[in-house]
Amino acid sequence: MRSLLRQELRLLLRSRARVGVLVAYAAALAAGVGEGVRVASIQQETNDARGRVEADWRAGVTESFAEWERTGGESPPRHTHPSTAGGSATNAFLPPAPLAALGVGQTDLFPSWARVAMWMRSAEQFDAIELHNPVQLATGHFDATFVVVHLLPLLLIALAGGMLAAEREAGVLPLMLASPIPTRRILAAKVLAAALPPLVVTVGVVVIAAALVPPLRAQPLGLLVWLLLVSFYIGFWILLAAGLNAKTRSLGVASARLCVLWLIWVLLVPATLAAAIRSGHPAPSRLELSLALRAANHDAEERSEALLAAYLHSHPHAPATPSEDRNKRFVLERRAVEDELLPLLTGFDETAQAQQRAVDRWRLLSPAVALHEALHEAAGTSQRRSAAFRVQVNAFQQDWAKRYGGMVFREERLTLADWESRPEFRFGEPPFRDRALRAGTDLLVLFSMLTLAGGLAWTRAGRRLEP
Amino acid sequence: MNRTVLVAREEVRQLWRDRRLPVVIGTVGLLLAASSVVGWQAQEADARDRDRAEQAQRDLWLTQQDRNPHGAAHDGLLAIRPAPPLGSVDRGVDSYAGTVIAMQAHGSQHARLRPAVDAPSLWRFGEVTPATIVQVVLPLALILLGFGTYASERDRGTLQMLLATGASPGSIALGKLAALGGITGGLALLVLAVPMITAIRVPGWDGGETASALVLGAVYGLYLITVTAGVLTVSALSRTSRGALATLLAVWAALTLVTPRISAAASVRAAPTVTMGEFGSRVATGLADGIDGHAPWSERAREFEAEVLELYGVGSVDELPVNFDGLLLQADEEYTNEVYGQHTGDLWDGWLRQERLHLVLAGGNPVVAVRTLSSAVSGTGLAQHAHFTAQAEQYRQELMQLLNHDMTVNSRSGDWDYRAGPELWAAVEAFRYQPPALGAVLRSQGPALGAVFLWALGALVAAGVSVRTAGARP
Repeated sequence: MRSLLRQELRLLLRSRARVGVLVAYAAALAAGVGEGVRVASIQQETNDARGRVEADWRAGVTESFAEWERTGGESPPRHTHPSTAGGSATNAFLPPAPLAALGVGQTDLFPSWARVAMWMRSAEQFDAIELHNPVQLATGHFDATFVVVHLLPLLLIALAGGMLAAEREAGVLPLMLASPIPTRRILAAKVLAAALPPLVVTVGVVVIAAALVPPLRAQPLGLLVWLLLVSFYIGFWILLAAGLNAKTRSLGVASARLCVLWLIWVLLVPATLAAAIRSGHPAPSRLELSLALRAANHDAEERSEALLAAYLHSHPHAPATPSEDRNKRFVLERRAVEDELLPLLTGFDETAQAQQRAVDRWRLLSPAVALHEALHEAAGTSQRRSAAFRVQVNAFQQDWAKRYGGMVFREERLTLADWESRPEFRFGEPPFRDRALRAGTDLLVLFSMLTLAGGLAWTRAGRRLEP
Repeated sequence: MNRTVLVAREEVRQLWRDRRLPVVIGTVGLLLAASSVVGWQAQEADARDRDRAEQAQRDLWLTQQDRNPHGAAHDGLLAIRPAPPLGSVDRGVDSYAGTVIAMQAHGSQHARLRPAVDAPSLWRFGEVTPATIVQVVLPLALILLGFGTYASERDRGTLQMLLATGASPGSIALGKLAALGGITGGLALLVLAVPMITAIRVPGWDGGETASALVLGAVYGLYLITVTAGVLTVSALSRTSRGALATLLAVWAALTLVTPRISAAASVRAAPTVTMGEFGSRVATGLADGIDGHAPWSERAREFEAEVLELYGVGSVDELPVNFDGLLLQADEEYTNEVYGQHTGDLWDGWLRQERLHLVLAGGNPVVAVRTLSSAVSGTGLAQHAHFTAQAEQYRQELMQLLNHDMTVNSRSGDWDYRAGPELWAAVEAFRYQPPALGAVLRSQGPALGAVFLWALGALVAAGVSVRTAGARP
């Protein structure tokens, strides 16, 4: 077996064309990692730029507070008023995903930051978007995930698509089958010899990338899952080629058949599935949401006095200085708008979840879909992480509005200590258990596909191979 | 019977007999049906949604309570980009560029509401539209049908026999071209005619749209001529059908999948545009020296106040016959218009430059050229979004001027309790986007148009040369 494997590898490495294919794959994968690093750095730069502006501004306000407390000046800084302190926005940042260099995913579509302020309406919280050229978004990124999902199968077809069929066509197979070595062992050696070089190239590029890109180094487990997923995918295509070619007489037919399968699984099924899922789970209208927000704002503005009267009626012991009424009305207006729009906003989240469930269910139709979803999940660039960010920002926004809104109604003023303890948003990565469970499921799905392809090859090789 | 016709008929019969033709027709037909139904549904839903939103917005604007014009300016209006009728054929960048721009006081905003945000993650694999079918799937179908046109004859040794019957290389080539071209033309007609028939029903279809549809048909015609001639050339030059198929598939993958993405990434690296963070910083820096309409205590506002007082020959804002706050807000608008205008203009110029570079760096790749041209003619290209943004901004500036003017002339300085009523709201005309004329679109797409023409010409010449010498090779 070992000598067979060595012989197969020697043959492969002797072919300039095949070595060229491997070099091209390594270059493409490295370029893909470079693109991932570029997009992640844009996200980081934007977050840093906004963070710096906010830090400078905060330092200025802190200084004015300190100055006022030190000198005991008569007119307090504007930010002692909770409506000004709470109304001045803070930024909530989503840091680049742990393995963002390995796949851009949906990170170029969803915002990596959101403004949190007392008057902010949830419907507008995530309107700020990164300024990517729409042509590039529509064309797609040449990232590592694209290279692996789309191009790697084509390279594998070029490397091993003619396995057995080429030998049969050249008349070498009968000689091999005449040897005392069992057929399955011959096939296993061929499969291993075909799978090892691309696997080694993948591991090599990723290890070098990890050495050069610190965030990748910090996630050894994530890298391991990513590499396992890719190795299952490589194994799947090689075993499929072996299984399908067991009885194929012509190299051309063998390659053409694999190309057609590639076309179906990598291009047609995903695009058709996306269209079908979108039709089956259509999102509510964002335009309608925008207009509903305007209508709710107008309505709340008109009911402003009544809202305040109702509040004061139900809180008879609350302070009621007339000069504070305006701010209290604003707080109540915001609450009314939020209550009004909650069902609409929930509709968007429910649709996104339903779409994701459908993708999870139907990914079994195509190994490319299964891998695409799994790689983004492993890299942390899937929709789920962006959704988690939105949920956490919403909760932070509610706490923020409650904190400063409460102070407005209690007619309190901020001290320097209050100002300095102003809450800051920190994104919490999804719990390890959830991520591990998801990674386990993704690995299982890909492994099942690998097993099916392996079963096909094993069964067909078990029935005597035709010379 | 004419030898050319005989060759063509035999070619089609062969393709039908080995089941390639019915399989291709079935696959393309299935995809066409799916894309047409999905595209038509989406187009209808989009159009309904936008019409409803336009009406609702107008009602909301006209029935708003009496209020300060600057309050209305803060709410502003939405510029809603109408769905172009040919958008059902080619969605271009519509899913990724915003479809709505909020037109409010104190500066322009980026377009938002991008349909891709509410689509499943698989959307990134690409959208199935009639344009995608013609750009990506039809060439592949042509490759599967045509790779053996000459190469298989050579494999079987029938090419020499055909020549020995007295058929000239020219009549053989014409026959094969007619067969492949006829099938392609039929499929393309089917793929493009069905969505166009549905598009005609979309409100907004007029003579201009008909001309655009014809140009679109011509562009795709040239593209498919390029592909057909390219397939014939490779088939004629290849020693074996296997070699022809491998070469054609490799070229197809390189042109449709790999180079567009690589050149798009390279164009962004070669001519980078600002990130959101940089954009914000530059605007903030620009505005820092300007007039803030809500900060009359600032130094620049005090300078402006002095200029106004001198102009009116009075000693204080209370003596002014107009509302100074209105003038200050308008001065603020004019300053921010300049700052935002410069940076937004730079951003769009940068994006359009990247689009041109994308084509250049792709080596004039016919797929990139036809994609750019098709989206531009369909009204869903990047330049159309830039055009929409510019019109919306023009409208916004006029709207703000109108509202500030009303406040200036109808109230006195410091009177923030002033309320405007229905007359002012009715004086604001609804925003109606006027897309650019087809001539202007084509002029702006000169490089892409040139690339499509040159590729068609080059491919025809190459096919002519290669098929003439095909019979001479063993």
